[in-house]
Order: sequence, then structure tokens, then C-alpha cells
Amino acid sequence: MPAKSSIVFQLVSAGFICALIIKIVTVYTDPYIAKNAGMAEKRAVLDIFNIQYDSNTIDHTFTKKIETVTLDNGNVYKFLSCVAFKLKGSGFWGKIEALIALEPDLKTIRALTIISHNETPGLGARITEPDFLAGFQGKILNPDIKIKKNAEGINEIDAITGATQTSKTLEQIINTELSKYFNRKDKWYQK
Amino acid sequence: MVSKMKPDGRSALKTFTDGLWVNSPIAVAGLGLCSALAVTGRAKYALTMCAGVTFVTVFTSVAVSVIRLKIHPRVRMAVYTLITASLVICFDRFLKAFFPLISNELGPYVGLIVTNCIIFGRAEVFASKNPPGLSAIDALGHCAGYSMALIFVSSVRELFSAGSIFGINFFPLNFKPVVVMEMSPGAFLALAVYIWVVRSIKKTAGGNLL
Repeated sequence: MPAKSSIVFQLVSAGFICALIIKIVTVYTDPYIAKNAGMAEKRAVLDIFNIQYDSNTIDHTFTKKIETVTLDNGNVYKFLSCVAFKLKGSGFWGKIEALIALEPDLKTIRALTIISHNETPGLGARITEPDFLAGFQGKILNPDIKIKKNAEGINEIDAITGATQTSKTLEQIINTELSKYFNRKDKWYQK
Repeated sequence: MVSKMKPDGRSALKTFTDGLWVNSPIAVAGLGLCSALAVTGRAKYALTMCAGVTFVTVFTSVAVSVIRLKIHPRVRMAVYTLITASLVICFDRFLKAFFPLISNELGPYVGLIVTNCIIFGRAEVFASKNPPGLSAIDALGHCAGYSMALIFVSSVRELFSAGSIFGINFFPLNFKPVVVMEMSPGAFLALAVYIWVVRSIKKTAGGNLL
């Protein structure tokens, strides 16, 4: 095999061509991906408040029913007297985005849903399973929650076997992000 | 393997069936097993995986074949990796943009296509020694063999764990799902059956079949 050009030149040009292709694909797909992400979040908000919607009219239903307050660390969504917070943080393998809804007393958890995550399928990814998420319903913030083995208390939720780190990071995300929202309560809460 | 095959009709067909049957990646060579176990819970996801692997393998093979006489042997692996990784990113972005729900379900496995042994295997063994057209046929053949295994395993798993194949129901509603088929051990079971069946057919038919 004759080497017609230097190693460095070959590597650099290969890298350049590949980067160019990826850039083109990224620029072309970005608007679609951003739109999908926005839709997924809107869908999650409507689901968490049990609002019926048609896939074609999500935007319309969303703007009509939900009041959105934007803070530094995410959005607060209000529907009647219930409130939901967007939670963002680092999971064990990657970013986790979730949504937590509280009852009007701002202490009882109404529901938790995971919008996106990068955890291991079959292990950490089980945080998206209904069985696990149902465990949050009715738990009381005291002032935080704990995800642990053999949950007993009013603020304790059973952790996922085999996914200790994901359970731990999810607990951290919920507690730190919620406390951030409660520190800025004046921005979204009116008596 | 003959290193310099001419791309005439007969050798092209032979190249294709080599991947599809004679040396098929999963049943004979034991390559690409990871994804055959991981994404075969539902036939729909297995099919997406097959499409991704086929796309990446074919284009990697063609690209490797095109640059095979110009590339310095010491950097060829680095360049193969670059090509494969770029193609995988393209496929991942495509899924995220146009099939967000499937992309969500497959999660990290789309990115893991880059580690699929079939891609590098074909690039190094075949595409680096043969012209682009024949390399594409070779890649297609091996991906067809790979897809055959994935579709079989996922159909069996979906049939027993959800009573359907590609979402089409085959069993009455009161059907009791076999939970083990949904979980990883079920994948091992179905895959073992597939390899057993293929190898038995090979043994009985000898070289007469294909």
C-alpha cells in the first residue's frame, strides 16, 4: 500500500471531512429535535395535570390551560391551584430532566414524570417505569424526600434495586432543584 | 477469503450470500451479539437497529474501500473510527429528529452502533482489499444476515411477552405474557434457539444450500 501523503495530513483531512458532514446534519436536524423536545415537555405537563389533549392541538391546549413562569433554573407550570416544576440535573450517566407536580398545599407530591434521561436500560432507566413513579404519589416533602431501601416514612420512596446511583442522583436532583424553586417562591406564588 | 475478487455477477452473489448465510455474523461468526440481546424486546426496535447498522456498515465499507489505496496503513484504524462514528451520529440525529419516540426507547443503543463488531470486521477484512461496489454488496449481505437474526429473536420475544409481532396481535386478549421473554434471559434463550436452528440446517444441508 503506497503512502502518498503524510499521516498527519490524512488524519486532519479525514477529521475535517467528518466534522463537516456532522455539522451539516446537525444544522439540518436541530430545528426538528428542538421542536420534539418542546413537544415532549408540553405533553408531560399536560399528562401530569391529567388534562385531555389531541396530539394535533397540543400547543393550543397548552397555552390555553397552563400558566408558565420562567425562572433561572427552569419553568414553573401552573394549572388551577396545582403547580409543577421542571427539574434538571446530572443523573448517574447523563442529564436527567423531570417534572414534579405538587398539590395546592405545596407539600404533597401529586406526580413525578421523567422527560429525558440517559441511564442504563433495564437498571437506571427503570426510573421511567410507572411502578416506580407511582411510589411518589402522596408522599410529603419533609422538607425533602428520600429514595432508599425499605422506605417507610411519609417522605421515603423505595429505591430501584441495581440502580443505587441513579436513585441517589434522582433524589439529589429533586431536593436541590425544588429548594431552588422554593427560595424564589415570590416569583410564582400568589396567595 | 479471496482478496481480489472481480465484481462480476457470480462473485457478487457469492459475496452477498457469504454474509447472509455462509458466514452470517450472528449465527456463525458470533459477531454483533450485544445488540441482538439488547434491543430485541420489540420487533419495531430491532428493525430500527437493523436499519441503523445496515446504513452505517454499508457507507463505512464504501468509504473505506474508496480510500483503501491512499490511506497510510498506520492511521487506517483511526480513520475507520472517524467514519463510523460520524455515520452513527448522523443516524442518531436522524432518529431524534423524525422518530423521537423510537429514539427515546432505544436510548444509548443507537450510539453504541459504533461498537458493533460487524462494521469494523467488514471494513478491515473486506472493504480494505476490495472495490467499493463489491464492498457495498458484502456489507449488505452481512447486515442482511444480522437483520435476519434480530428480526427472528425480537419476533419470538415480542410474541411471547406481548402476544404480538410488530404491534399486531396474534393471541387473544386473555393471553398470559411470558415475562421472562421480555427480560434479558429471554433474549439469550431466543438467540440460542436461532443459532441452533441455523447451524442444524447448515449441518443437514451441507454446502448445497446457497
